[in-house]
Amino acid sequence: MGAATFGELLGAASGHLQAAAQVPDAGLEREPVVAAIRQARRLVGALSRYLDDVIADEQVEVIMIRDAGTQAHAAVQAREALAMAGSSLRAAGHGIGHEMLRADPLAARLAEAVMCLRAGRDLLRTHAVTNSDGIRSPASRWTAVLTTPAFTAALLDQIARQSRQVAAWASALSDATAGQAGIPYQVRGSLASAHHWLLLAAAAADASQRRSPVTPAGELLLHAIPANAVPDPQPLSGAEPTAVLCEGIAASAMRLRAAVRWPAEQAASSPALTAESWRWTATATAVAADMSVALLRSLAERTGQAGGPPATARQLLADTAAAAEEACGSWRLVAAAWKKMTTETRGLTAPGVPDTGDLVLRLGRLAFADPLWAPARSRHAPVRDPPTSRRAQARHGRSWLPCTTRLTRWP
Amino acid sequence: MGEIDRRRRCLEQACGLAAALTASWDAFDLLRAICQQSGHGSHELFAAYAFAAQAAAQGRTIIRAAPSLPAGHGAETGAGECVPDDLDELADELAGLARVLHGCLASAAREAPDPVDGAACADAAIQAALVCELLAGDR
Repeated sequence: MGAATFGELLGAASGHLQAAAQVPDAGLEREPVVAAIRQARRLVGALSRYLDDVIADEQVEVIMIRDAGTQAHAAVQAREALAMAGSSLRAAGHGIGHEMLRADPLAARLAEAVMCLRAGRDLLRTHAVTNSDGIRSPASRWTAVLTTPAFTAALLDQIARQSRQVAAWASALSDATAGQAGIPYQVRGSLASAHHWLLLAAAAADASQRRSPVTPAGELLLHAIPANAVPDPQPLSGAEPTAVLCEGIAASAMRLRAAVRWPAEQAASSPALTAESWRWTATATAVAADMSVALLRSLAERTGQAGGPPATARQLLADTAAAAEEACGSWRLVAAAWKKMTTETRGLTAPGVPDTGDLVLRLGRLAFADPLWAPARSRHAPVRDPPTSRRAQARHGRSWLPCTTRLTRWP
Repeated sequence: MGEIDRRRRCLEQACGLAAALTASWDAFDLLRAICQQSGHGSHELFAAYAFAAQAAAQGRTIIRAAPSLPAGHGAETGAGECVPDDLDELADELAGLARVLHGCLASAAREAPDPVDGAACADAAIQAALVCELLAGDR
């Protein structure tokens, strides 16, 4: 199972909020209500933190441009409304005391939603590195996505939706507490006020939609964002099924991508970085690109067949194969150039070498009809047919095509 | 295949450490040049040829550091010779050359009076064995 995506965390938060809005009509006690209101305040705070991030990237725009239709201004207004909602919830909580709180299903649901939203923000923040001066720099290839208007539009839309969900909960709780013994009538007023401000926050977040509407692509991107975490090494263990091969290839590619993203200012001379390592890595990368060409062409030939990729994918696969072929040629030139250079130290000692080796072996075992494929000619085998029948797909898993498309982006 | 045969004969006839190093350097250089320009027409054999070129280049680099390699050796040769269409036949020829090269270097490593020469020959012999393993047809 892969790591959680931002979409999964948002979906989980939304599910908890939906469940929390099912407030029982009667029998509410004072302590659970206090606990739920406190969790709702934390939830509003969690939503605000997302807006802080949107505004942090657009501070100059917010100060310099007095245009209410921009995403940055929408974020500022939504954040102000959420701050007011938070104040109302604080007042509601104060209205009924500060007792020790016991566990309650209603508060627990809200607490789960808070945890999901906080985890989601932590996930997004793994894609940037903040230095001691507070300047953020990219830490993954997803960073470019996080600064696009399409992503911000989708994020503001999500904040609007979740604000409405919390508003629905506040309204339901306000109704449910009417006439309940031990719950002062001012609490209802504060909850109604929170409901009002939460709806205003949603409307403010929606305001930028006229200029920057949410697109299906933006929503897809938002939901697909993974954590920028480096997976553990996955050493080869004999013949592996297709799904395991694909998982291992993806893990090696992620580890290599993380290794090449060291900031330039942290670069230093290392005796581990030998000419032999560079040359071997360039050679292995050329081999990986060549095997990607074989895989992609094999897939392109099967477009439109039963169980194969759709016919519309033929040109895309052919173009991707052509790009991989070009990459292969370039890497061969790099390898040839390194054959003319030497370093003081020797050996295959560079940190990326084991992952590159695992990746090439797994890719070979995916591309060729030999589950124990190795680069030696004695193990050479024909290019494997991709699993096209339903039975074969069930056996191999459906990860074959995504795996090949991932490979073309490596390293 | 004339050039491959010629280099193999040179290795077999090399007499003394300097001659063995010279013949080995030439053999590695030919292996590197031919492997580098071969194999990209066949997905099945590309990896074997590419990694063999890498190992041959490494072997050449190691030999270059041997103190007893005569001065003036170590320059780039051309692109080798014309590569035949049959990549399997070519691989067999190259594996054969690498096998002889390994034997020559292993012998030179044992007999080298200078330990630095000996270590270079031993390390280069490992690369020759790797080229042979990558290109040989039998499992």
